[in-house]
Amino acid sequence: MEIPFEVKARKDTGLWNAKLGIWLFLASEVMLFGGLFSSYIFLRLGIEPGVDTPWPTDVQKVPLGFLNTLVLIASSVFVVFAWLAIKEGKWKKFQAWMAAVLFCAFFFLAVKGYEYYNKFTHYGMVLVDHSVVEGVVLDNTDKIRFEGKSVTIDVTKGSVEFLKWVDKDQRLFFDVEVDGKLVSISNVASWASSMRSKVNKEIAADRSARWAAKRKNPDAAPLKPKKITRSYTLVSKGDPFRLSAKDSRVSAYSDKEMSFVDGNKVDGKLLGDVIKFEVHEVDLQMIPKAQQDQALVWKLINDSAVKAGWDDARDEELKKMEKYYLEDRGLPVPDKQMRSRRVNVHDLHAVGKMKDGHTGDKPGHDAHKESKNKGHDVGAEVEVGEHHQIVIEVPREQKRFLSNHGPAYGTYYAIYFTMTGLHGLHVIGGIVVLGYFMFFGKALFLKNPEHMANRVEVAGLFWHFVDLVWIFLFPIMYLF
Amino acid sequence: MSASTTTQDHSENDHGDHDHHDPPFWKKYIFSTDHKMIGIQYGFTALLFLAFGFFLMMVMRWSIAYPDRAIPLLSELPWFQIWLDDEGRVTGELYNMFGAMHGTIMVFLGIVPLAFGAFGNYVTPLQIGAPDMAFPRLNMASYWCYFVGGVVMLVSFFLPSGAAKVGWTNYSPLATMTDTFYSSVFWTGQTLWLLGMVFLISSSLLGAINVIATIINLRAPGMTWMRLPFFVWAMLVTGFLLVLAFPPLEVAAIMQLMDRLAGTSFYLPTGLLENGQLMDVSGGGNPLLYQHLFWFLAHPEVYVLILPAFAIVTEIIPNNTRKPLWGYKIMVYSVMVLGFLSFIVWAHHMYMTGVGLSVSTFFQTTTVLISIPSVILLTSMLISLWGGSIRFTVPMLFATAFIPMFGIGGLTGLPLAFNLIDLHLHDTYYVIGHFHYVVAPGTIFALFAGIYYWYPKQTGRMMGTVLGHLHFWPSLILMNGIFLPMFIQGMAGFHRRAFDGGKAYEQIAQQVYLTGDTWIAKIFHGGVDIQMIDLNIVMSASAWLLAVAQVPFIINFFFSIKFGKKVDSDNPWGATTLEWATPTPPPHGNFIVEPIVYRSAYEYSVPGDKSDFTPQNQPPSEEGAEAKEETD
Amino acid sequence: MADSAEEIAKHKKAYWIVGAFLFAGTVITVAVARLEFFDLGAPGISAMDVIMGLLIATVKSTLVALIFMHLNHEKGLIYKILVFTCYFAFGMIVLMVYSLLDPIHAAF
Ligand code: HEM
Ligand SMILES: [Cu+2]
Repeated sequence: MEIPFEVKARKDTGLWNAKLGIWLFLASEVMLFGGLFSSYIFLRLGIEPGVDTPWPTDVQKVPLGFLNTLVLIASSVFVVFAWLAIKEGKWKKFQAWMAAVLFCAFFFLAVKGYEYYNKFTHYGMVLVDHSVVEGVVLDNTDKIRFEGKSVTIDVTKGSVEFLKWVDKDQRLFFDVEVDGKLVSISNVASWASSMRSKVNKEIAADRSARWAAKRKNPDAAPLKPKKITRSYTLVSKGDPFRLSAKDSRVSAYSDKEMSFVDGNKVDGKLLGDVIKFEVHEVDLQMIPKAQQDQALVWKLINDSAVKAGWDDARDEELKKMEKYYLEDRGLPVPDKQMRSRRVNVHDLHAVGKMKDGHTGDKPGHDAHKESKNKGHDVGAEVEVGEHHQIVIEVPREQKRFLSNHGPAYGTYYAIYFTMTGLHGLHVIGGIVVLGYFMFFGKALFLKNPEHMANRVEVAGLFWHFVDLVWIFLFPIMYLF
Repeated sequence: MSASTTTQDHSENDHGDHDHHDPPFWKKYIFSTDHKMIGIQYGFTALLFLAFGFFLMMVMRWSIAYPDRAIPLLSELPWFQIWLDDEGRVTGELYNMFGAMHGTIMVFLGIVPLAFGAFGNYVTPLQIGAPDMAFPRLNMASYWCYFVGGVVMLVSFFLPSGAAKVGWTNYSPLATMTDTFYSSVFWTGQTLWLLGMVFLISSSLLGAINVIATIINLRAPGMTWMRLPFFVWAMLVTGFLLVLAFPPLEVAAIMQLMDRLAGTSFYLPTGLLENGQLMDVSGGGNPLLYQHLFWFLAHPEVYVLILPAFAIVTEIIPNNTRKPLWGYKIMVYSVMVLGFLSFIVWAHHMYMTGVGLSVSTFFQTTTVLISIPSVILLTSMLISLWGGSIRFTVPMLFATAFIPMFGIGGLTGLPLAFNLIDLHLHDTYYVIGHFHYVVAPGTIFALFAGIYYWYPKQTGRMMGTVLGHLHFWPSLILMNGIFLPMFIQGMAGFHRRAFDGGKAYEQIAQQVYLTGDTWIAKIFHGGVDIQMIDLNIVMSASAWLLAVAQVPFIINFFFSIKFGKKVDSDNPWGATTLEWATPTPPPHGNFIVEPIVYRSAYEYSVPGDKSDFTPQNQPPSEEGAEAKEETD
Repeated sequence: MADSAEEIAKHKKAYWIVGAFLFAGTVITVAVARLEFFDLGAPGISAMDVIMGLLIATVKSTLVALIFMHLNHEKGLIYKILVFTCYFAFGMIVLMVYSLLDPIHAAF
C-alpha cells in the first residue's frame, strides 16, 4: 500500500505530505514558544516594584550571545545551500554544507554550555533586609553542617531524606532495635522501604481484626488499637556521620538535633551554620536610597573603603539620570525611571577590588574573574587588600535566600534557562536529524533523489525555525 | 442492485497488488501502522481508562453520600487501607487524589483518546477515501506516547505519596508545594502527573497533525471541501484546536516541573509562606500565569471533548432520519467560528481571580458569542429530525438523547458566562453539573452511539438491539439522576470539592429542599422533609446503578463479535459516506478500487432515486452505477 | 520551486544577501541596546530601545520565514494555517498581558 503525495505535491494544495506536516508542527511550535514568550512578558511586567526583585538586564555576556546569533544565522544560510546542493544532485557538496551546519550547531551548544557553567558556579545571596551580595560560596557553607549519632525515621512513609545529605565519603552502619532484637543495617533506604510494607501490613491486620470483632459483636466495647511502633531510631555503629544539608530541606535544627521536611530526625551536634561568602558585587536596589547607608551588607563587610566606592558608583549613575532629565530636558527625574535605573546592577554594584577605596572602571564580571582565581584562604575577619577578596560570614538567620545563578535564582533566570534550554533541545534534535541525513541519507538519495531533497527541505524548515526563535531570544535575554 | 448492498469479496486474489503476507502478530496488532488497528487500540485503551475513571468516581460518591461510614469492599483490602482512616472511611487525601485523577483520566486518557484517537483515526481516512493516514508511523508513535502517558499516570497511584491530589486543573502554588517533603520529589504523584501530561500532550499533537494533514492532502478525487462529511469537518477543527492549544499547556507543565524539581518560582509569588514559614524560593512569580496557560488550553479542550460528539451524532442522525443533514454549510461555518472563538474565552474560568472589569467584560462578551455557533449546531441537528421517518436504531437512540442532554449542558453554561452570576456559582456543584451534562450524557452518549454505529464495519456483525435498549434507557435516566440535582445543590452553594459532601457546612446542608407538605413528598417519601444533603444519596445511588447499567453494553460488545447478527452487506445502515464502500472489515489500505466522489455527503431520499440513499461514490447516472459494480 | 540551474544560481545570490542582512540586523540591535550613541530614549535601556530591538528581530525573522523557508513560494493554505496560528499566539500574549495590567482593585 502506498500513501499518495509522499513525494510529489498534490495539485490543489500544492503540498506533499511531509511539508504540510512540518508546517503544522511548526504551527504548534509557534504556540509553544508563544506560550513561553507570553510567560516572559507576564513575569516581567508582573514585577511589583518594591516587592519583587527587579528584572536584571545585564547579567549576560553580550559578546557570547552575539557570537551565537551570528553562528546560528550562518548555519541557517548553510542549510539552504545544502538543500540546493542536493537539488542539483551533488551529494558530496551536500555533505560539505551539512558539515558546516553541524559545526555551527556544535559551536553554538559549546558556547551555551560555557555560559551555563558560569551561571551555575556564580552565587547570589539575599539578606533579610533585601540587600544582595553576589559572588561565591566558600567551603560548601551554604549547607547546614551537622554531625549525627542517630537518626529517627517514621517508617510508614518510607522516606529517608537525611540520606541525601550525608557526606558521600563515609560508610554508614546502623543498629536498630526491631521487636526487641538488635538489627544491623547498612542500606538504610531498602531497610526503610521493607519496614514500610511490614509496618503498614501490621497496621492493616490490626484494623481488620478490630472491625471483624465489631461486626461479630456490635454492642461490645470496641477493641483498642494495638500499639504498633512506627518510628525507629537508628544508632550509628561506628563514628558519627557528617551531613551537609540544604536548609530548605531542613524543617528545624538546633545544637543537638536536626529535623528534615519528611520527618527524619537526626541527633548529634551542629558543626556550623555560618555562611562564608566571597563578595564580588553588592546590589542594593531593593533598598530605598536613604536607608542604603544602614544596609546589613555594610555591617557584614565592615570596610568603609568598599562602601565609599560603592556610593561613588551609585552617585555617578544618579547624576547621569539627572543630567538627562533635569539639566538637558528640564524634566523631573521620573520615579519609575529612577527605580528602573536601579534595576541595572551593572551601574550600581560595588566591586571587590577596591584597594584604594576607588571604584574600578570595569565593574562586574572582570573583577569577578580576577578575584575568583586567587584561591580561598579565608580569615575569620573580612579581608580586603592583598588578595582583593571580600569574604563575609553571614549567620544563617540573616540570610533570606541563597542560590547559584541557576534557574532558582529568580524569575529571569528561570525563564532564561527554560527558554534557552528548550531551544537547546531543539538544536540537539536538529543535529540528530541533519546528522542522520548527512551520514545515512545516501541510500535514499540514490534511490529517489527527490524524496531525499524533500526530507532535507523539511529538516531545513525546522532548522530555520530554531534560528528564528533565537533571533527573538537574543534581544530579550541578553540585551534588554 | 447497487454496489453497496452486497458484501464485497475480499479474498486474497482480489487484493491485486496488495501485500499477501500476513504481517507477524506483533506488527499487526501491537506495533501496527494501520490507522484502523491504531484506532481500535486507542478505543480499547480509552474504554479501560473510562472504566477506571468511573471506578474512582464511585469511591468519591461514597465519601460524599456516607462520609461517616466505612467504604464497603475497599476497606477490606489491606493494601488499600493506608488511604483510609482508622474507621475505614475515605480520607480527604484519598478523595482529593481520586478527584484529581478522575478528572485527568476522564478528560485526557478517556474521552479525548476515544473521541479523537479512536474515532478520528478509524473513521476519518475511510470517510475521505484515503488508504491510510498521511504519516502511519507517526500515528503509531502517537498511540504509544499516549500509552506511556497513561502508564505514568497509573504508576503514580502506587507511590508512597499516591497520585496527584490538586484537581484536574492542578493549580499552583498548591500543586507546586504538595508532597515536596518526600525525599524524592520526582517520585511523587504530583510530579509524575506533569510528566504524564507531557507525554499525553505530545501524543495529541502528533495525532492531531496527522489527522489534519490527512484531511487536507489525502482526500479522494472529487472529495471537495464542501462534500466532506460533517464528521470530517469537526475532526479537522478539533485537530486544529489540539495543535494550537496544547503547546501552552506543555509550557505550563514544563514550568511547573521546573518549580517542583529545579526550585524555580514561575508560579510562586514573593513572600509565600508554607506552614507559617517563608518558603525558600526566590519568589517573583505569579500563580495566575499558570491559570492563564492552563485555561488557554482547557477551554479549547472542552470543545475537543464536544466536537467529536457533534461529529458522530451528525453522521447518525441523517442516516436514521433518511434525509439530508439540515444546514450543512451553516454547520461547517459554525464549527469554524466555534473553533476560532474558543481561543479567546478562556478567562471566564478565572472571574474569581480578580480579573479587572474591562477584561471580564471582554471575556463575558466572547463567551456569550461562542454560544451562538453552539446553538446553531444544535438547532441544525434538531431540525434535521423534523419530518423524517426516524428509525430508532440503538445508535439513533443515543444520538437523539444527545441533543437535549447537550442542550441542558450548554444552556446552563450561559449563566456562568456572566461575571456577576459566576461569582456566586463558581466552584460549586452547579459548574460540575454544567460540564458533566455536556460530557457525560452528551459526549459519552455520542461515543456509545458511534460504537454501536461503526461496530459492524469492523466486525461484520451488529450489536444486539435488546441489550442496546437495556443499556440506553437506564443510562439515560441515571445520568439525569446524577447530574440534575447538582444544579440545585450548586445554586444553594455546595462547594465542588467538599469530600464529605457538604456535611461540614450544616446550615446549607440541612436547608430543606422539599417539605413534607408537597404532594411529591407525600407520594414518594411519606411526607418527610428532604434536605439538600439528602440529594447526595440520590446522586450517589444513581452513579452506582449507572455502573450496573453498563453491564449490558459490555456483554453486548464482546458477545456480538461472535454471536451478533451478521450484516448482509458492507453497508448495513444504508449510509452514503465512503467508509461503507470498503470491504468488511476494511483491509490494510482500505479501498479495493480508489473511490471517486461524485456528490455531497448526505444524499438521502433523493427524489426520483430508486433507493433512499445515494452513496458519495455512486456515479451520477444509473448506467454508471451498473458500470461501477462490474469493476468490483 | 527553483529547479533549473540558472534559477538556482540566482537564488544563491539572494540567500547570501539575506544572510548578510541578518548579520547586519544583529549588529544594529546590539548597537541600539548597548551603545550610548544609539540611545533613542533615556540612557541605558528604555522602552524605545526595546521596541526598536524587537522590530529589527521581527524584520529578521520575516526574512528568514519568507526567503529561507520559501514562504514566498508557497500557496495560500500554509498562509491560512500560519495566520491562524499567529492570531492565536498574539491573542494569547495580548489578552494575558491585558488581564495582568487590569487587576480588579484598579477599578475601585
Ligand atoms: C455552550 C456554551 C458554554 C458556555 C457559555 C460555557 C461556560 C462556562 C463557564 C463560564 C465556565 C466556568 C464556570 C466556573 O468555573 O465558575 C464553564 C466551566 C466548564 N465548562 Fe462550559 N460552557 C459552555 C459549553 C461547554 C462545553 C461544550 C463543554 C464541553 C465539555 C464545557 C465544559 C466545561 C468544563 C469542563 C468546565 C469546568 C472546568 C472546571 O472548572 O473544572 N462547557 N463553562
Ligand atoms: Cu470554558
